[in-house]
Amino acid sequence: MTKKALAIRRTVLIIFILFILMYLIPYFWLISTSFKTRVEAFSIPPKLIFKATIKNYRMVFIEKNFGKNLLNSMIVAFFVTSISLIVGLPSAYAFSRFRMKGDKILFFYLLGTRFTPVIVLSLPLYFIMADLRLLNSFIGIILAHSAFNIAFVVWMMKGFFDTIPKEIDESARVDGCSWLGSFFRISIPLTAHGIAATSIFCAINSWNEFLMAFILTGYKTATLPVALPGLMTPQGTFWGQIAAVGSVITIPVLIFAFIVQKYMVQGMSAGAIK
Amino acid sequence: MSLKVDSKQRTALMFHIPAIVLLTLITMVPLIYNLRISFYDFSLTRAGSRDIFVGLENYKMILSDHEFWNSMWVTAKFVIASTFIQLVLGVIIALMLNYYSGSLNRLLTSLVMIPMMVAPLVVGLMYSFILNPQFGLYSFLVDLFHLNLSKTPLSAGGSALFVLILTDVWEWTPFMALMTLAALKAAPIEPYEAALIDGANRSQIFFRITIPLIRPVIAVSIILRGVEACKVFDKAFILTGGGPGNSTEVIDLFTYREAFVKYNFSYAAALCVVLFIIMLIFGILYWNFVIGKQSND
Amino acid sequence: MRKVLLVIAVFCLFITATLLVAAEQKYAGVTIRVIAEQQNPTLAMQKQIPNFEEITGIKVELEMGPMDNVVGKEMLALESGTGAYDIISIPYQFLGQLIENEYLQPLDPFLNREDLKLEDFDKSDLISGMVSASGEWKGVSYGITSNSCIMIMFYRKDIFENPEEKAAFKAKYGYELKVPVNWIQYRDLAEFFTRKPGDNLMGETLKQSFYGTSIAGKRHDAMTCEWLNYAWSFGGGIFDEKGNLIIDNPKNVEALDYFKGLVKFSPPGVTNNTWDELTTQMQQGIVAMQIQWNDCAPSIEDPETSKVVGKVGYALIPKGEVPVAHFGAWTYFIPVDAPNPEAAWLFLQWVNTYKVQKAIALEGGFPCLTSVYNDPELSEKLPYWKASLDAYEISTTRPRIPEWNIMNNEMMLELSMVISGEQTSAQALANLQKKYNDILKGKLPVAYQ
Repeated sequence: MTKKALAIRRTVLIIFILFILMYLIPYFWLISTSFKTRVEAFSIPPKLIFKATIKNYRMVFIEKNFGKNLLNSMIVAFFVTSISLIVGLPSAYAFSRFRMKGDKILFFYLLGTRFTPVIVLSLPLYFIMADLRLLNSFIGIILAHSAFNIAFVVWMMKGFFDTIPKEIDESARVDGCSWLGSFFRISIPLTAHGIAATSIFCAINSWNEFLMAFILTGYKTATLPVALPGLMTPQGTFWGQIAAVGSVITIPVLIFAFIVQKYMVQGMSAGAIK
Repeated sequence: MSLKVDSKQRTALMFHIPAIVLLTLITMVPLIYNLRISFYDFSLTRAGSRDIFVGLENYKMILSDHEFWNSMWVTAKFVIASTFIQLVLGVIIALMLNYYSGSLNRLLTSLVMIPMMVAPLVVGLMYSFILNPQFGLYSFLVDLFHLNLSKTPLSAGGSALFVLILTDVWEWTPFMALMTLAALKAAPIEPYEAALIDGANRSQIFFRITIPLIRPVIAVSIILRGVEACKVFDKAFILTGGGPGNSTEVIDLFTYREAFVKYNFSYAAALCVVLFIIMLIFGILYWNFVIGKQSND
Repeated sequence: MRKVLLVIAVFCLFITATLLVAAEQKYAGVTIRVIAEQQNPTLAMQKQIPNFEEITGIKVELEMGPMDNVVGKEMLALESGTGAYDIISIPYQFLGQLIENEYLQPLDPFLNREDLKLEDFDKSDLISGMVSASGEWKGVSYGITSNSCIMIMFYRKDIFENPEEKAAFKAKYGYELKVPVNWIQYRDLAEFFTRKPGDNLMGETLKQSFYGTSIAGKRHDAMTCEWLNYAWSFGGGIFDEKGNLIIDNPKNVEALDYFKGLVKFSPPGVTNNTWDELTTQMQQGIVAMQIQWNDCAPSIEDPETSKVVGKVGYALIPKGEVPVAHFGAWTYFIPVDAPNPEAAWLFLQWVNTYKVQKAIALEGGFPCLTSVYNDPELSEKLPYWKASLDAYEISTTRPRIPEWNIMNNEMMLELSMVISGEQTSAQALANLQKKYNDILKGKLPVAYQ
């Protein structure tokens, strides 16, 4: 490349990086606010350099018992992921390997669950769960989140199962293996990476979700996003603590997302594109 | 031969059954429940109204409800503006990312990914804090650079909607960018080589080759984002609450309010049914134009 | 024979004593679930809970949250009838709606039960006006006040007493600067004290803007609560004495125009203001006057968060045609599906004992016991106490009819559109008149509220 072209390339890169950093300022601001005292958080001009304190984290997670909400989020995410996988993997496999009568309808139905606004299901689920005495329990919200995630699991894993040549299945069947056996002993191990990525997406979807959790969980089972608005009280809004909880909600997600970065696009499109 | 097909069908069914059961319980049953309640008059304001049958009355009320139509209009404005801006910005970012390769690319992509991963509720709170007129970062910057902008964008209808759009754009542009990037990376190299041999310049290559190649992905992204933009509940709830007035009352916020603030459950259920039908139409369009098209490719 | 009688007598005495003593410990080991708004008075009560657990052996699980969340959760819990709570604390304006849906247990059966009497609870000490406003419906008592509060005016007394400001004010307006007693004075003061950076305030140059007042302009309960003061004070209101709808009355229009007129003397962003923001603004020292709930005063006097400790004065809301003070209360009720209603009743009595009510009062709550109300220690310690007591004498309550929740929501919408400039006061109130007529079809005039 010519010197001029190289220089242009470098300049553009610098501008681009600056752009990205500016784009991310709101997020950095959130993280930094979580480490500021109330006085510093509200100071004008806003402080870039300040004395960091973990007081907000201590106040909100220990004294205000948000640690419990953190645990709730983890419990829900764990079970949602497990159930979504247990239910979704076989279905994904079936879409990949079999042609069943009516599977187009099922596929379309799965699409529908992704498109449905959460409120449309939250309202009736509220009443149904109340009637079943499952309101404010973990079971209700876990089932609800799982249902939303199944479509996702099916689509994503179908793509992964498709990458395994059908011949491998055939030879296993010839050796006397049942479909179930082939599923467990061959397809699953071979798509382990895909399953890992899918699980992480499931967990993230559940972890970040607000409305359904807000309606279906109670005081004891509230996840972090649900408990968060509770920090806005008539005594004032505890922005430092909100920032602390917000940071804790986002950091694990970022770490996991970074790990599955390779599968990010697949996860987002989730079978929407071949 | 037919026996073999049957057993395969049965196996397939067995593999699908857990999913079918869970989905029916958690999605089909609630949808039917919505439909049922929508034909009654259930509201906590009127005791015993749970059992009063009113047929299509709620639907008639929706059609004549001035605020419902306002909400639809607000949602339409929001979805179109947000998706369009994300598209433009996303494509530009994707092109930039594509320009650089290797570990630099990985690093930049990781950074770009961040906004998408932040919980929508947290995005709303984040912007709420930044836009605080007294001590928010935004207010300070307006003063610092002597910008001719309102320090309280959330106080006026037009600018409040714009802020909502902005937060949605901030959060989801990475989605568009990454999808486009994937399409760019998957694009075959031959057309480019041929074009270069033919002496095409940069902009010709871009408009005549790049764009058509990534068009399918863009179409999908638009529809996916368009539909999901209707799910802006978390941000709207915490940032504006539908206000000022009802200038940011997107349709799922409107439905939520009817259900869980005014306790007009039947009316809200009818709204849910209407919403569902709209989404169904989108889904069918998607199915026909996108998935259908792909199986033809 | 006498020995036998003696033994029997002692035995009976013993049984009676046990029964009496055990009345309070009867439900030891039971857990009751209480839900209330997260604010100072509730937190003050929370601190006293170990005392309750000691006396009765009953464990208390207290759930708290912001107003909207708590009310939403309560309404839905009551609707689902699953016995989620033993005691709910809910704003009194929902009373009609709760009664209509038959969610609540009347308290008289409990009051008459000798075996459930808590030692320190004295029914005659309850302020009957307050209790009936917050918990009585058509003569039947359902609840007792939990947190009540009243709207008063906060003002920066240090600024008002400053000689330079006083001189400048007199020069401009022609009368002495003093605590405003009517709306004209309030507006003059608001205008006078709205200053830009670079202007003078109390002899010092301002680095940021200072504002005469701040109003709650968000589409939220805070706004309707505040505006009702103006409406009633101007001689308007929602219903007249006979229960006819008068929301589009010209006096209301005047009150709404006045309210809107205060926007220009308020910090920008009024459409975001609820009680929190108002409190924060006063704490930050950028506002001269506010119409606020008295239970926000402790936050103003809290040295950890407030810059104006000791600088704020408290007085009655300016008088228009009539003096008013909006009375607010959250009332404790026992739902019909409460799993442990007797234990709940013990709790209800306990909360209204002198010790607990005083503790609550010291942290910003407003007691419903006469003894605490008149306690001299409170007037000494709490700068806002006298104003609160005076305000209570002229307190006004809002409608408690079943339809009020929806009417309030409509009012929030229409009023917020006036504040944001999308429609005129007359338009908004005309809309409300029409909407209210629809909502109350067949029920007008509303005789009982």
